[in-house]
Amino acid sequence: MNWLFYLILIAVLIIIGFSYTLYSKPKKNVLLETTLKDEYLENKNVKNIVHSYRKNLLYSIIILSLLGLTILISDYDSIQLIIFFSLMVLAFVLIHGTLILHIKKMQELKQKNQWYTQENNDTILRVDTKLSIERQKGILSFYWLLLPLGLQLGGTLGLLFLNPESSLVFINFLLLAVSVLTSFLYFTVYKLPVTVYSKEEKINQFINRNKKRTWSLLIILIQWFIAILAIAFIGIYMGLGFGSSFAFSSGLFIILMIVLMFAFPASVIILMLRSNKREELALHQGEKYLYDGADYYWRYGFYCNPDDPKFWVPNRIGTNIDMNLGHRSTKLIGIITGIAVFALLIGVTIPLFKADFSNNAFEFQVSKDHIVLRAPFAKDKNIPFSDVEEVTLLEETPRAMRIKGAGTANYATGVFRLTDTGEDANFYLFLSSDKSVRIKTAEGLYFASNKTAAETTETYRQIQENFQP
Amino acid sequence: MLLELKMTSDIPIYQQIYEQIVIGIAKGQLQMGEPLPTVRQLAEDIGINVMTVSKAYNLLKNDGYIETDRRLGSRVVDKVISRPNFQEIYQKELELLLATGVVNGLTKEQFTAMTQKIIADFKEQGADN
Repeated sequence: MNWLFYLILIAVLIIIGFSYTLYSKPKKNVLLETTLKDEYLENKNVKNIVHSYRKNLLYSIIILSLLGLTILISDYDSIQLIIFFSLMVLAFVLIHGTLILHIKKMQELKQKNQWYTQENNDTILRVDTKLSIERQKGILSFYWLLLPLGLQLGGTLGLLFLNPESSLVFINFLLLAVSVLTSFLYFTVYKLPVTVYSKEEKINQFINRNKKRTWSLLIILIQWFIAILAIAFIGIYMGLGFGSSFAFSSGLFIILMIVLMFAFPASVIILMLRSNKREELALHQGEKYLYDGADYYWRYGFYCNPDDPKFWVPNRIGTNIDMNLGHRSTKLIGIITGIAVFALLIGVTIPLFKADFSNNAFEFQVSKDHIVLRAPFAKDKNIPFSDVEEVTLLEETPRAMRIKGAGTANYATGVFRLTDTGEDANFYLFLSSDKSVRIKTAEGLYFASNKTAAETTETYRQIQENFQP
Repeated sequence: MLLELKMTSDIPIYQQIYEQIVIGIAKGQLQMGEPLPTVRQLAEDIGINVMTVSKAYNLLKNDGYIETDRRLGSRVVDKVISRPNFQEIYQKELELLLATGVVNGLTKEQFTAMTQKIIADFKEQGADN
């Protein structure tokens, strides 16, 4: 689990590092968010600032990668998750801070040397009538999305039919929801307004088509990424169902995850770099840049212009599109996103914290006439002694695969499928105890343990006292 | 053709669209019979209300510069047919324009030079296109 967190962190840092490097590559005469005339782009002082920015960016990423190693030290999932989220926040502060610092330096240099590029900050919106007519050209067909969407839907429904209880059904439905949302993104790209970059019609045509093509290709890539994940989940389930070993399936899954984890960001980076280079080449073929009065409204990587009615604006550093923070809808979206992220953070970390540190979260004890079983991510259960058919003290934790619930380095709770027999069982296990108790009833199979092997043995003794076979 | 609209200008957007399309036709940046974006397309690309573009298009249609077909959309007319009272209206507008020039101290020579330059510009760009 912690290695997975660390790998995700490294993958995210690579993507952030790559996208922030783009600020130091002149695009449309914009370098570190400052519009400079051609003759100043090669200036020695300008180059020094760019060099310092790249160096600091690299240092920040190295520091963050080293700090990320602390994830591997902690055994608790809740702590790992908190470290992970804290590092994400720190990454943003550190990397974006580096950017802000260097944008300031560049703007000071421009002011000091009076390298003016325009007279006023009027917002000029340009529209090419021919381009507007053929707005959808370049976008890849929606049919490319149908196959991954169909595969996911078919797989999820199949899984629902095979085992509706499995938590994989929930995960696959979640992935399907992400896919449907991504498909909506396709229509956003489809309806994305055209933008004028140059006075030359052909250059505008090329860049706009390139943007639509790149973005639609990216959406198709995401869909396939999700579809492969979903199919992998189903594959594991089917593999188990037909008797192939759990170790083989899970090993294959982990390899697939690692390959995807690196292949996906790598393909995104290659795609974006290629697209960016093509746009840059096209822009260089035209005459001088068209200044749109936007310098004033770009502040440290964000665009905020209440006079610009557009919601989506092309990013000045790459192929990306950004939201106009001055648009009234952005505030609402910002608030909703903030609440959703916060809710997700609370929703995930609190149960994990409870499981890791609360004394009351787990319960395996004998009451008057029944056995009490309670654990996070598992159903509470009271088993009357009259229902118990068999009780055994096991010397080791049973080998199994999680179907629903939580399986971490410290505990296994919820529904698990036993590797030996293929039966489904309810787990209420502390992994710190070597011993565990197997309870068989007519309703099903239960495995439980206390925090230590001694406590587990004691609970087993108490059950035996009350249990009449 | 390239429309350049100043969002902070005092001139209303619909008027800016109207004026630039007429100038575009005169300069040959818009060819006779050339298709124009639909009202919705243009409104979405500029990011303004459909009504604003519709107002500009209606003015252009009334003055005989463009025509709209339900199936084919809007396009520049094949030949601009002047309204019967065109010269009369034009003279009145010119009168006002000249009056502002005179009030602001523009001489006859300066005005003539300016007009000749603008017409030459139209012809030159028209030939280029």
